[in-house]
Amino acid sequence: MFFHKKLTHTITLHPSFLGPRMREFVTQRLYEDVKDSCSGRYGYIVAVVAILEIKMGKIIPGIGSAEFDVQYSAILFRPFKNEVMDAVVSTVNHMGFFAKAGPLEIFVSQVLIPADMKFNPHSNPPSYQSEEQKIEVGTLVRVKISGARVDATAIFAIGTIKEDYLGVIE
Amino acid sequence: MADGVEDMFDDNPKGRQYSDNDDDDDDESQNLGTRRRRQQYSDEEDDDQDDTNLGTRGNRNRNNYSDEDGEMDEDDNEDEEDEEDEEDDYSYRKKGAEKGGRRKRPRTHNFLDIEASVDTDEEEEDEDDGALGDFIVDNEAELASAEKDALRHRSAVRPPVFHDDDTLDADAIEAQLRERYSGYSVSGGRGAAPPIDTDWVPQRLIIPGINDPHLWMARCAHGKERDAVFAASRRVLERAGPSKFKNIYSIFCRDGLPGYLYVEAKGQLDVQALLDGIPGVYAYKLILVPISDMVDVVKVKAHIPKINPGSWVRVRRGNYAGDLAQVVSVIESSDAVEVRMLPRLDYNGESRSNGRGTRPPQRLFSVEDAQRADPRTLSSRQNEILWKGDRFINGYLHKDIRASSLQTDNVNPTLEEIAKFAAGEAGEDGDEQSAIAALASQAAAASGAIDGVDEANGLSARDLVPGEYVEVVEGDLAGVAGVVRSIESDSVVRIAPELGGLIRGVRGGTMSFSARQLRKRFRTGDHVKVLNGRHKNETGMVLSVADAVATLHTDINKSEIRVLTKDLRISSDVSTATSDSQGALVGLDIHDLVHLEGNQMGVVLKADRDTLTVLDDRNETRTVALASVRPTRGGFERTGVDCNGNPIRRGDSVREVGGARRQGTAMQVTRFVTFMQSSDQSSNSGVFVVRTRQAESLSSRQSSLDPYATRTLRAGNGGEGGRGRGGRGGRGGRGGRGGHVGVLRGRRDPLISKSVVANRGPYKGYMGIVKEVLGDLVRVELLTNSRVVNIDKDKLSVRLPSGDTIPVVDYASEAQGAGGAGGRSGDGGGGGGGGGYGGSQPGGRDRGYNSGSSWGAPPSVSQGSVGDSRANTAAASPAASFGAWDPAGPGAAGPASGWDAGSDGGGGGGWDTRSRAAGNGGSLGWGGGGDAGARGGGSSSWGTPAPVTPGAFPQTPGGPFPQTPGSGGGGGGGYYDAPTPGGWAAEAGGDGFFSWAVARAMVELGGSGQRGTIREVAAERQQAVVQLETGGTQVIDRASVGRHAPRPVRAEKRDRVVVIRGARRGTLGTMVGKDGTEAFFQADGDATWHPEPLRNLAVYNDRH
Repeated sequence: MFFHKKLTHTITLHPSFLGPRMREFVTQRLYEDVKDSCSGRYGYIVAVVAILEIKMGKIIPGIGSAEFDVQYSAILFRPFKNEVMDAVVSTVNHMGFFAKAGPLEIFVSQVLIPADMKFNPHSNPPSYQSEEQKIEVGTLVRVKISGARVDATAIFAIGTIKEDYLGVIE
Repeated sequence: MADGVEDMFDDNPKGRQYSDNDDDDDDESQNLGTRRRRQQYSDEEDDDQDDTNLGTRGNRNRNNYSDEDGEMDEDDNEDEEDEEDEEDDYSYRKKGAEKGGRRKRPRTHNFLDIEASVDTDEEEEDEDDGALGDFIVDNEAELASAEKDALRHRSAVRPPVFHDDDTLDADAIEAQLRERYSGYSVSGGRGAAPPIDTDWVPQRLIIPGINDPHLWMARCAHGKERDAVFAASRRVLERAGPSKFKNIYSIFCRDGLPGYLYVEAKGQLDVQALLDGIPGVYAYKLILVPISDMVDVVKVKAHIPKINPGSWVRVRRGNYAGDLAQVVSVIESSDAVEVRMLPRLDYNGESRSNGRGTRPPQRLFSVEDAQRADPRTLSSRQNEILWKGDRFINGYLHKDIRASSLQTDNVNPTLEEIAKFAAGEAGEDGDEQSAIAALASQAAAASGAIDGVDEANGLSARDLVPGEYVEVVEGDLAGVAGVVRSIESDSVVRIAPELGGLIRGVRGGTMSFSARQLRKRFRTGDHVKVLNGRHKNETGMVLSVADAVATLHTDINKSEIRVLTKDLRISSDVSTATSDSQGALVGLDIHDLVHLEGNQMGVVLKADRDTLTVLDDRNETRTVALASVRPTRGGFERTGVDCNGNPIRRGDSVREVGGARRQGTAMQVTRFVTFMQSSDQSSNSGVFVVRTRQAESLSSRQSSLDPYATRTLRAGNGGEGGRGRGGRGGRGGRGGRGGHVGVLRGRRDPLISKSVVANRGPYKGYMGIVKEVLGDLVRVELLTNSRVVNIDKDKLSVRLPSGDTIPVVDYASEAQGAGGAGGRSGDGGGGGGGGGYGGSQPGGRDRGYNSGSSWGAPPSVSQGSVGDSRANTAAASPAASFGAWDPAGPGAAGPASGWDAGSDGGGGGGWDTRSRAAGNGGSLGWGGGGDAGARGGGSSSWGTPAPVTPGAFPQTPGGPFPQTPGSGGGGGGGYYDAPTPGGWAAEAGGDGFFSWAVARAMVELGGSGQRGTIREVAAERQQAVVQLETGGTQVIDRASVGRHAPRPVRAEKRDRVVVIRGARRGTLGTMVGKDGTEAFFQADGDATWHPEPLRNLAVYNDRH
């Protein structure tokens, strides 16, 4: 699910950048730091919408770097359990397939693929096939998230297509 | 056990039998009483098995033993089993045979006989109950009557139904049956039988009371228990008579209790009489078993090990004791198990002769050897080979072994054992690995099945913690889920059920369950950790749960494993997979870089107890011993250079150039190879190797805001930063600024490889060389024994080449830019600055300390120091000390004279010890280059390194350097003046002073060390008058400026200052603070602060 949220981020600027273009540096650093990053609490930061405020910097004693608290608003992407989302298949192997929904990688295990879809290692590229459907790299699938593991830098989800209205989207 | 149907048939006869007995054998009333009780047991056993389990078991046990008494000679059963089924089996069978023989019952009707024999068994069991009485009393009359009973019963009851079924029509049969069985339970056949409430009998009624026979325990010789029991029972049988031994009821021993046997009898004298004279029995000391313990004595622990085909077992005894075996099949209706194992055959019969000391090694059966040794006993049928009575299939010995001689739990086969075992299977196709895997999975499946069935119920309270989700799988509330609230004892768990309705009326909303009734509950997507078993400590997400087995998708290997739910626990942490292995001890983890033998590198893919699976730099997977790898240290700084010359760091997104163009994340980077991980790759959990040179960094992480970025990047970043820094760096005096870049790029602690002395602590007095600096801890290699020890920083002093020592703390802080070091670097010469930037170059890195000293050295301080040293003129003490620990130390004398010479550039150059010592043209060139570029020739006087370093010339972008900077530099117009030591030196050769000199600015005359205030600047800025503090005035003109070397007095906080350079030149104001080389300047009448380089400010003297 996507959210629009106000966030703060602390930027540490090396003293060599404390100068006339400091604001610019702070902004630049914020984008670099924050974009495509992932926090366990809020999920992926997809885009920074606006920088709301750059607070007065504070010099860190002994180092000389300055810390700036920056308030910004961003679009967040956080998957939830039981959320249904569309994803693009990125890898197919005998264990199941991986699909990507933006930055999120979803693993759909063979256990969670309908029983009539069989792995066909001989097709090129490898695929899961049933009578009428075929899942291979690049297929658009609708997946229900059945669990997610949140690391510091990534979210990894397990999905299922073993339910009604899930699976290949034509 | 009797079937229900048989029961139905039997109840009646029993009752009848006993009622008959009652009638017939009045004289045996006492005995009968006992028999009634026994009868009662068996009835209860049938009707209410659970409740009377104990009683029946005990009862039947007694029967069994008493049976064995009679059949002792037949029963040479070597395994002393207390497994009731088996013994029942025996007793049924044997007694059936025996009694059949004894009674000589005519068996005429085949079909009937089957029916009857089953029936007879049952009946006989009933009689077994009585049979105790039989042998004890051995009453012919009773036996006869019992037999009569049976016969009468047969002839009277059965024949009309079965024999004459062809003569009767269905209605008649029905009527007969109805007659026979209607009202059965009310009074029918049971009317005269002992009044038994078959529905339920309180446990205490079947537990022996004080009126029942007592149980005595007698000591006997170890191992003679059975013999004694048989001897005693034989005595009873032989001397059978109504009077003697009639009060003896049973004799038995327990297998689990060697050295004792039990006699059930009325009185102690009976027991003594019985046991007296039996060898091995010490009848003089009899112990009466308390009534309450009597039941326990005969309690049989029903432990029926479940063995599944495919699982591993170990042989307990014999030649194969301890050997691993695999169950091939479980032989029904007996407790034997067919196992296969590696034979330990001695074909020639040699080793057996030398005693039990050695046994032949495990080796697959060899037909050739057998043929050679004993061809006569060799035969084969189908795929089996028989030799000397043993059966071999595929070289494995197949043997039927009693389950009791097998160890079924805690088998824990080692990998070697399995490998050895698998060697046989691999023999044909040569694929040992797959054979091992197949065997292991086979066994795992088998044990999994066992666990799944057996131990799903075997969840113990120890496996649970409060807060876990469980579901009830047994009992009335099966299916209820809940959360564990507390663990009350080893087996009782209190849970809060999730069903709302159930909570009402339940105390505190919780209910107690036995742990066995519960099963942990997981849902798809739960992140769990494995607590026990083969996959211990792995973590993953639950994919599916089927009964007690969950399928996980592991975090590390991205593979699927099946684990019992009881071994799982919800956990959010991600395993490192080595946390339990030896690897953790040496600090190794999955995906760590290790050194292998032969100068190879590899990454850890999998860590087992003492082996590692490693992917080496040739993209080959190897399994190596943990001891044979060496972990690499400090992965943080390892970088490589990709095909575009950009650095690759760990975590960068990298693509292979050429080849498969695989893309992934750089997991480990070395100069030569990069280990990448990609989810697209299925092998080796996605890890593969590319040559670093054939990789291309796709990472945008190369931040232009990285202060440690390479110069080109920074230069490209913006004019101000790049050029300013270049210029200043070149200027030398500002080297502090340039210098720090160098230091940080080198990123090496200045302490490393320094010689240190411990001045406190256990290592006091020891000398050593610093190997590594870890925060406050320094790893020092001691000179005495080349041991590396950790010593606190504050206990160490650096030993300078001069022999002096300074505390490490001071040294470090100096190195990190305290004023003292700056001063030294400053008076070390302009080179202090030049070298500062030079420090960024290889030369600087080699000389960590020097460049370090430049780092952050505030110019004001260094300026002051220079002043000091100048004041002292010759070999000022800081200079000396600097020189002392600078390899180029001798040059220290040079500077002083150089300074004296003033514009003598050669001198100045001479004491840029650093540049010479470093001898690195490149570095100096850069320093000089920046300088020259910025300022032209004039500056070069301070960029002293350049003139003396040949390498510098060609690289100087600013044009030819004057060979004699001091005099020659005069021409160039300064880009701006150096306020630093370099600065005034530059002025010596040029017009620096006059470019900034303003009235009322305070200056310091470098030549004499005097201070003064500029009174006026006159004559087209060719001449200035300085009012000296000591009184008097000094006129400085173009000719004398070099001699006087005036420079602005550095402003301090709250000084009135005037801006002498830059955009605000000429502005008056106050300095409100400073940060390093930046000052904060507040112009008069302006509330805001402006950052202004410190050197742009001069103290403004209001008083003049």
